[in-house]
Amino acid sequence: MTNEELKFNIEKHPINHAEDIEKEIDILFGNKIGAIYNFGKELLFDVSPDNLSEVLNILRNNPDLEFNVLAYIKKKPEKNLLLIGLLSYDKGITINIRVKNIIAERRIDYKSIIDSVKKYFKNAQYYSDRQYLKDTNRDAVILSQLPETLDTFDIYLSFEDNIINQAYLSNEISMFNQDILFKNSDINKIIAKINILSYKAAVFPELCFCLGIENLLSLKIPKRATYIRMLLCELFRISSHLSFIANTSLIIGNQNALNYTLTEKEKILNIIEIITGSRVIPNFIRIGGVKKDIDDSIIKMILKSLPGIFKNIRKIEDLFSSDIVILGKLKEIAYLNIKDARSFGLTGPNLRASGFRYDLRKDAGYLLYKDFSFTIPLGRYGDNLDRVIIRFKEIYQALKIINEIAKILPIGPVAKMMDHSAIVFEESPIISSVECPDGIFKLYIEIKPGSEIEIIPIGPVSNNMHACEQSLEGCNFDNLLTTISSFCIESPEMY
Amino acid sequence: MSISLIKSSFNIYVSGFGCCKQEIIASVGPVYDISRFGISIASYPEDADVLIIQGFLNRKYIKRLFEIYGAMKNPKWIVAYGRCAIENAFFESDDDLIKTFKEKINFDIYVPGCPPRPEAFIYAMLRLMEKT
Repeated sequence: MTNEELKFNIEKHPINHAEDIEKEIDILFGNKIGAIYNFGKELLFDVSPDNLSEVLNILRNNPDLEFNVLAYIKKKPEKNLLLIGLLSYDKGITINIRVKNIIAERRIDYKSIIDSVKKYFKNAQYYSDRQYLKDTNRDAVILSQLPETLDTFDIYLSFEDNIINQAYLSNEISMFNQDILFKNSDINKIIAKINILSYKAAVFPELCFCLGIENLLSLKIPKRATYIRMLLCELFRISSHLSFIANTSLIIGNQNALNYTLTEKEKILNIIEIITGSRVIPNFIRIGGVKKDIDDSIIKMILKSLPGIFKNIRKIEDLFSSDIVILGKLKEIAYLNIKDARSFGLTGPNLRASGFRYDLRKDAGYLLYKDFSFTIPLGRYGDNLDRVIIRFKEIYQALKIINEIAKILPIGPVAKMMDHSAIVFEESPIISSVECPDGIFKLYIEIKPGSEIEIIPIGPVSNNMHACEQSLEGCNFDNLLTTISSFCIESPEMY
Repeated sequence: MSISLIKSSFNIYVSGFGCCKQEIIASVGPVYDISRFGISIASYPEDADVLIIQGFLNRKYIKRLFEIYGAMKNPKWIVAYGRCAIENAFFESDDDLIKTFKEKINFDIYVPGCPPRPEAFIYAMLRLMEKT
């Protein structure tokens, strides 16, 4: 890089590190915000509802900060709490704002806060009350379950001459309260229960939780344990993507692709079962390592089965990219350009299909992904076909990582020897995030007096649903199901 | 002379979503191939003989479940698949609703597990066939 290029880069992005941003925020806001917590690529601080508008304005418009994407809004009325996430794709950093009243008895007015967020971020509209859309979009109502596999939401549509004017996806049917799930659970029980929050790739919530707690305790994890974690993550990534491809095949009506995909998925699930003892819910990650070691015979079996799986998945991809019927149902439908994809705060394959590179495995450098050579696949047009093909490409990269891990798995312990009951946690909030197959999965964890733990999961579902709704506008009614399926909205939403 | 594996045929309607549904879909695939026993998945409750209740069910979904059950034609059977359905772990602390649910819906077969394997599902369906 020449000096001029270097100078240009420095001038363009003067602040790129979380520590620098932390200092800048501290100088800019002073007493208006609470203490700033730094978790690598995640920052967290408290703001009172009165100061929120000013803070958002500065974070959005200050040229040194430019946090111009609303990543999420999470309401917790029973806890009198609101979480707002602002993302800067260029810096790869997320600012998490915890809106809390100084006087605990004073209730937060969610409606007025969301109205003030709407002034700076258009996609905040999604988080306001949208029940009226049920009445305005009554030309067609498709209840969940009726089309196979689209089972977590109802679809309300208004259309004219077969062209969709407006779509509303209501996920009331799949929303459940996670507080009941974690009721009376200690830390070990939480690991056993948390995995259902992302049931298609159940290892990721476990990993996210354990990474958060390890970050709090400043634990160093044995290298072998980290490699085994990565191995499992990539196996679950493949399984989840194959599940997505199977669903798409089912909706398109291609029985060949469906059967081939389910066969390959079984092979991956078989490997997962040999390692963890369970096909779907692993309950394998522990604080300080993993539950048990992998034998050399399992490693040999994985290395032996990978070429066959790769070859067969390549065949399925050929089917998708050459079959005229499949192409007709996917190609050049429901475009999403980079600008729109970024404005919805998308992450994961749906963002990368539009051609924008953002992957926590490379950008945040969690676990030891930096030890491996792999590329982040990108799409070109951001249409339905790109959203499917990119998942095939991610499967190949995951197979490549698994192959490397299996070859260089170091010898050593797989868990830090520690007495969990003797751990004393300091009272602190934690934000932990991992790159799930569908996008970024985050956990807000709060340690309360008496080591009571409160968890708020923040998944990619809301952003994917919002982007899907917007993509459907102007779409032909015939392409409705394939478009919705291509956004992979299958996880439940928690409140 | 070859003997058919199919004693009678069942159309099943799978309600809800979650990890259990992943395993039910796996049982439809070519590895387990539940269709060799005459069992196929129905897209509409009107076509179904067996209702599979599984996964996370919130208050709204349980109300819809009553509608689905009402739309099914007699004779009809209900299978509780997985821990969530068996233990009423519906993630809703609404005792009245669970009471109404138990009164209105009587399970014919329970398939325990979290989630149960596809083999367990196939075995349960075969037992249900024997029972009928």
